[in-house]
Amino acid sequence: MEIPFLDAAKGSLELLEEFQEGIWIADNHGRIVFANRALARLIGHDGPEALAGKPWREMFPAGEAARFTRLRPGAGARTVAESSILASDNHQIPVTIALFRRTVDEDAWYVGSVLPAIAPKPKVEAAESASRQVMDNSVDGICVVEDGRVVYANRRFEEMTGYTASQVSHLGFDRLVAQKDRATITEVLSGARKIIAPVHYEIRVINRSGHELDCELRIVPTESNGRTTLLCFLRDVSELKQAERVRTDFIAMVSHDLRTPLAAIKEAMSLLSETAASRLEERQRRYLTIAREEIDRLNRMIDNLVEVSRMDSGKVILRFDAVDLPELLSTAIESMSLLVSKRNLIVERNIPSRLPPVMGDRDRLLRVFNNVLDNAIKYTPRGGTIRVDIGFVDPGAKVLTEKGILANTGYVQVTVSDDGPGIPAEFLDRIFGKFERVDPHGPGIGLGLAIVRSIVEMHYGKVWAESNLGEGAKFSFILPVKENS
Amino acid sequence: MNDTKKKILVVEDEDNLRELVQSRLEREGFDVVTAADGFQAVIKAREAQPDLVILDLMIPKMDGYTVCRLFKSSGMAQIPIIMFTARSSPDDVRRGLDTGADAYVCKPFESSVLLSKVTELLKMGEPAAKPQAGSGKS
Repeated sequence: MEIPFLDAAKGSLELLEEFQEGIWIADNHGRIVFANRALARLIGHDGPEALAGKPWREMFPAGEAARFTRLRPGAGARTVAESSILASDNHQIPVTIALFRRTVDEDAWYVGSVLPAIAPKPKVEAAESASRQVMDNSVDGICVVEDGRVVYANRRFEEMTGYTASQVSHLGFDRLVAQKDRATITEVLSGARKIIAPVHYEIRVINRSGHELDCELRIVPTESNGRTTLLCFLRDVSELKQAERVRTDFIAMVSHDLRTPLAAIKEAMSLLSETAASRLEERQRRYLTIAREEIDRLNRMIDNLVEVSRMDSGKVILRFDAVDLPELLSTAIESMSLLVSKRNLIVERNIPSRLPPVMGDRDRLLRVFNNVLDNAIKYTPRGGTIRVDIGFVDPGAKVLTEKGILANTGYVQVTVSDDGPGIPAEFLDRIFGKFERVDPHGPGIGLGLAIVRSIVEMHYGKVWAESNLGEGAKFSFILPVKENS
Repeated sequence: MNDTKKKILVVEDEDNLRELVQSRLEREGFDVVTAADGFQAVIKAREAQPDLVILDLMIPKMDGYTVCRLFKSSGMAQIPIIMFTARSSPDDVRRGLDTGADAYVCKPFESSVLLSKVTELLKMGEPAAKPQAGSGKS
């Protein structure tokens, strides 16, 4: 190659190979006639041959090339600018560029050099070391997964699993996950299941000594340079779960221990009233009745307590079947007939002759009826009326658009209206919460309606209350119709 | 009379309750044997060959589920068992019946419910039997 201003005989071109800077020389037409290896390396080519003959301006982003042209380096003058060069994969590398123009025999030659811009290194190191410190000292186990491999695990992760980061890297994180949860986690970590937003799992991790830990795992995908890195945050919730189990077991135990003496008292009362009834005065018989009623009430409270605790711990399993609501209503009213007649209440029923069964767990839905009716009975004054309406929900009703409702399914609505004092507006939603009562000194412990809501929602239904103060209250719930009926 | 009396084994670890159930059943004309734990239940059942067992679930030494399974997989499989327990959730009832029990009565119970279960199960055991084993009061 002959470049007039270089003395080829003295090896000037070879000399250019020694520089750290990327250097090129272009001819009168702006085509590259020489490029050194440093330039090829910077751009990402195997060797300088790939650049030969190309217009040098094409090595830069369009706007930048135009800027260099405007700068128009004068003959012999040198222009230096901060710019970027295009790598072979089209990403931009910040560089400092120097340009010369040399005119020999009317021909202009361009000589350029680029030096990768030096990043403000100390700052990055500080940030990196701070974030590393955060990761190392986090109370959650953290590991970073790239291409299915664990490339980092923090101290807490090592403590929880009992393996060092490099052991985890060899084993693979998913190998530490209990069999029942493993398939999902393997899919996500290996990239077979692509995630674009953070995901959350409850998994069981088996540590090095064989202990099982209940853990919450949050996997956050992050993109950089077109590659997905997964940040995994692992939190040990074993103690929390254990506390939950203790609480559930405690309630189960207490309720068992309460029920057994209750059973003895009830049976003793009942034997007493049978054997001594003829010898008792009316008033004395009445005392026995009161005692028996109160025993039943106590038992209902225990029932509700147990049910709530089971629901909280997710232990309730529903058995779905076709359930005839009017029939269930009759059963519920039957079981309350004593209470109803004692308070001289009238129960009106308004039920269409043809009504499809709903999809539900019969025993649980009976509890819904019992609790709603129990509530109505409690708050209806002596001689008052309780009205129960059952009917189809209009397919256009707004309630069917709410969250948790099945689409394209018919719904049946049950409404229980009472003659009671009504419910202040601010309580209409709250009364379905646990231990919530309008009157804190009122009857009950405020669990009945909480159970109603839990059960109805487990059935893909909704429950709500309406009331004008002083004009009674209306409790409604809707349940999906059993398909093909 | 003694020969026609039906014999019921009541397994219950709470003394008072056991006594009351015994009184109730005796009042209804049944012969009653009792046991206070799982081991005793098995021994008394072998000795007395009852016509029916009322079985508490939470009893010492061997729980009611185990006793029930044992009876149902042995020579005593035909003896009807009523589970008699404070565990009242629908899931518990299903579990109890899954172990082979013939009926489930929750505590606190209505004595009328317990008695109707008893007579019903005794009648089923002897289709050609004398009229209602437990109906006569002694």
